[in-house]
Amino acid sequence: MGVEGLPRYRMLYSKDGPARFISHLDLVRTFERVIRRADIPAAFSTGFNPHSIFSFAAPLQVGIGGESEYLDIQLKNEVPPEELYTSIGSVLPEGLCIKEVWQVPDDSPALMSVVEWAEYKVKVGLEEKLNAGALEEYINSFLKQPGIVVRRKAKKGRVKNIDIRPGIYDLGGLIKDNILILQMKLKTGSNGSVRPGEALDAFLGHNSLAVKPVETDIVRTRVFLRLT
Amino acid sequence: MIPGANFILNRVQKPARYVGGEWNIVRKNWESVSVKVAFAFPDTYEVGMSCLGLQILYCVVNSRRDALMERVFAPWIDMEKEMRERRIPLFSLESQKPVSDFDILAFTLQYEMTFTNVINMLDLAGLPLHADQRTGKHPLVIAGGPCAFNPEPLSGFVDLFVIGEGEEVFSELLDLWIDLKERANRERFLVEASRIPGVYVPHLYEVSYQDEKIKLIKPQLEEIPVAVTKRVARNFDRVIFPDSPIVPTTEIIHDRIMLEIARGCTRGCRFCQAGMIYRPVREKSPVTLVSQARKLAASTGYGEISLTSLSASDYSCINDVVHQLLDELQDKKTSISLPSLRVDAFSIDLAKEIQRTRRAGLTFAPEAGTQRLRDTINKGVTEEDLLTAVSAAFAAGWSALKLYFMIGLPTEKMEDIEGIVLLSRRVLEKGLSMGVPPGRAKVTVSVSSFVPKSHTPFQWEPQAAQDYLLSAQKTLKRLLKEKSLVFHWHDPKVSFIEAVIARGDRRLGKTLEKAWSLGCRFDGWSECFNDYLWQKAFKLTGIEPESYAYKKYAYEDLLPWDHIHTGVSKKYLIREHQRAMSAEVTPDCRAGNCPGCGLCAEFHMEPELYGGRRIAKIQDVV
Repeated sequence: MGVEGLPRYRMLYSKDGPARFISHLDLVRTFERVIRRADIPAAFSTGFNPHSIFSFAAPLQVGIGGESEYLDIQLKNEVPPEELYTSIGSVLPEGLCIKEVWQVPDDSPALMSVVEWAEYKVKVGLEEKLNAGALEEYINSFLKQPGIVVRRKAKKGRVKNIDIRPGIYDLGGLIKDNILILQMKLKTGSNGSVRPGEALDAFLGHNSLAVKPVETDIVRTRVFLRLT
Repeated sequence: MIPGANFILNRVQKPARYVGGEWNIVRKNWESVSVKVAFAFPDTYEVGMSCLGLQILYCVVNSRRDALMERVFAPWIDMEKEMRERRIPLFSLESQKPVSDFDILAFTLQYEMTFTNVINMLDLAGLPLHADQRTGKHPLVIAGGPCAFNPEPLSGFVDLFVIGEGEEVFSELLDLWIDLKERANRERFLVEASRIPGVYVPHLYEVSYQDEKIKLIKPQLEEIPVAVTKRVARNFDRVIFPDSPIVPTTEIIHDRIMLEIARGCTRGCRFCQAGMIYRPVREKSPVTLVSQARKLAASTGYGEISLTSLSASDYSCINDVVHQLLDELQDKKTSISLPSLRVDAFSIDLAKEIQRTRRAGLTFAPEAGTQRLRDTINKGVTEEDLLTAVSAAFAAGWSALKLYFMIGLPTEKMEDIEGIVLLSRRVLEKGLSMGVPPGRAKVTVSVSSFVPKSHTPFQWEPQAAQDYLLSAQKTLKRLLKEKSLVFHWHDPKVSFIEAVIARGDRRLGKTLEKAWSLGCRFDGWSECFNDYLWQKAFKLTGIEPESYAYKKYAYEDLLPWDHIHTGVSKKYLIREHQRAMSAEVTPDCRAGNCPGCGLCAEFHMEPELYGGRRIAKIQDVV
């Protein structure tokens, strides 16, 4: 990303409430404006249409909450991270919330290139009662499959078949008041990602579980970066 | 948020339209205010949020301690379906509360083709559609905006209309509401409100007909005015202006700061309703503009400021202001754009200076293809003006230009249609002769159909017949065959319905309701417009649409909107109509000669031009 030699800061933020429905493209626009509103020495790109220099770790699908999302931003000069935290934190639209800011080396690899996997918490309302023992069997039987093929829309209206099994790194679950809570660790990053929705549908389909779709809720709880 | 929100929002397109939470929204405690207003925009979020009027009234109401305003937009087709299936009533964005919980529901009418959406929103809110079926337990339904200047087609659905600019009258209305809410019923309130200048309560006026013609429009009570005169914001430089407007998180149509530099235009184009209803011209001072721009840039974070007015380059010291703004905003990397450019070299020089890239094409509006017809519509632009302007644009590096024309204008002949082709070709040839590479040179010719609008010199004129418009379009399509000339046209069927509503009277209300009940929504959107349903609605309600769109009125006829007064005299409109018929131009009053539109005398005011100058420098008046 961006320009070498400019101080770089990493931000951990959450995206929930109305901000869940900001698409990735709109989130870029939104942060562009957040940075302009914040009283900080933002660095701008050169060229006809200067824009501030920042980048994300991994796009989040519209409608999914994010508890710990990363953003890198470059400034013209160094600023204490606490100051950035306050300046940016006070100009965010509802649902975006800054949790932490720290400085990273100017030459750190781009955020996008170091994402390995993400963890999701998926809540689903069950139509029928399910006990913990049965759930464990469902999970084991699901993961034991040699391949899990899902259909994904490709360009020009075509449909692609993809095996997501290798990208499901871990799957755990529990039942609480007839709500199934699944924890998924899914491959994420520039070399391909598994979407939580497709993993969920595949799991429910494999085990013929009936759910109340209205109560489904997905949150990305963690994005894992490979840092050397 | 609404119950089951996540689920529903994950099923609809652009869910950000319905969630609120944008930067700079105002969310007040409902218990702390005396009156709660829902501002309803009867089109999509992206269109509505681009409307400066919304931001202005949001600021006017929310800066009062005793009132709150929240927003609601027309849900798109997919969202309407979800809402109806789940019985979710129309709700506001700020508090996500049902619209029926508000005291006042205020619609803005920007375009006739949103009228079925107004009815649909009343229905989605769970309100009785007809004003006479609603009581004190329902919100008061009010409407304003340019289309309120012919309020009659919607008069059965709306309790009161606000005619003209809302900055002052809206607050007066809220004062009255608060004063009377404990001690008067709905009817008493409406009678009292009708005494506020600019307020029109349709059911207090009786319309009688004779042989299909309107015979009389008469107030039912002695104490209310025979004609309702529009409101005008005076002392425009000091008028309330939102310096912390809402910044959407999703992309909207005009996704930038809108800084209104002036209001009104006295060029006097004879087809243009905005030019008549927003008189007089009032400018803001450069000092005010620079200070507002600074605040807006800081509070919104937008990287672009658009200087808006009906004709931005007519602002009397536009050069000074642009340069001051460029200096002021330089370190913020904020760019400036001018959305409305005049056809002259001066404007191009200005555009050249401020536009960082040449990607966005430049648009010119000669409106008609021959000098005679341009004189008839008082467009006061010559072919030489246009060619000088486009030369300047090509020289400055633009290679794609857009020309905007109308067809079906009064007195139009075949040679005028051919004139569009000749003029467009000349513009293209100019570009090629100046060295624009043939592969890159592009002239887009956008042609719409003339719709006669109320309160203009052409209000008496019929719309051209559908057959004529279709054949004119065909001719244009046939003649504009060069690859570099791209022809765009509008569906004349939509323009026909627009003309029917624009010239409609009270009898049309039942047709609008029928069209809505048959399923008409978002009629201004080509993917939604359904002519078959409209024709069916006309048939079922016994209305001949041709008798509205194609009617040629006589000067003595009583027009459906004659009790709404813009301050521009009928005498002037008649004189302008007559001059049009003999292709005589009338210069802008800012050039020194008052053409006697009557407005200044009516309102005891004068154009507010910066520095008190009465005469602006106008380059292209013949």
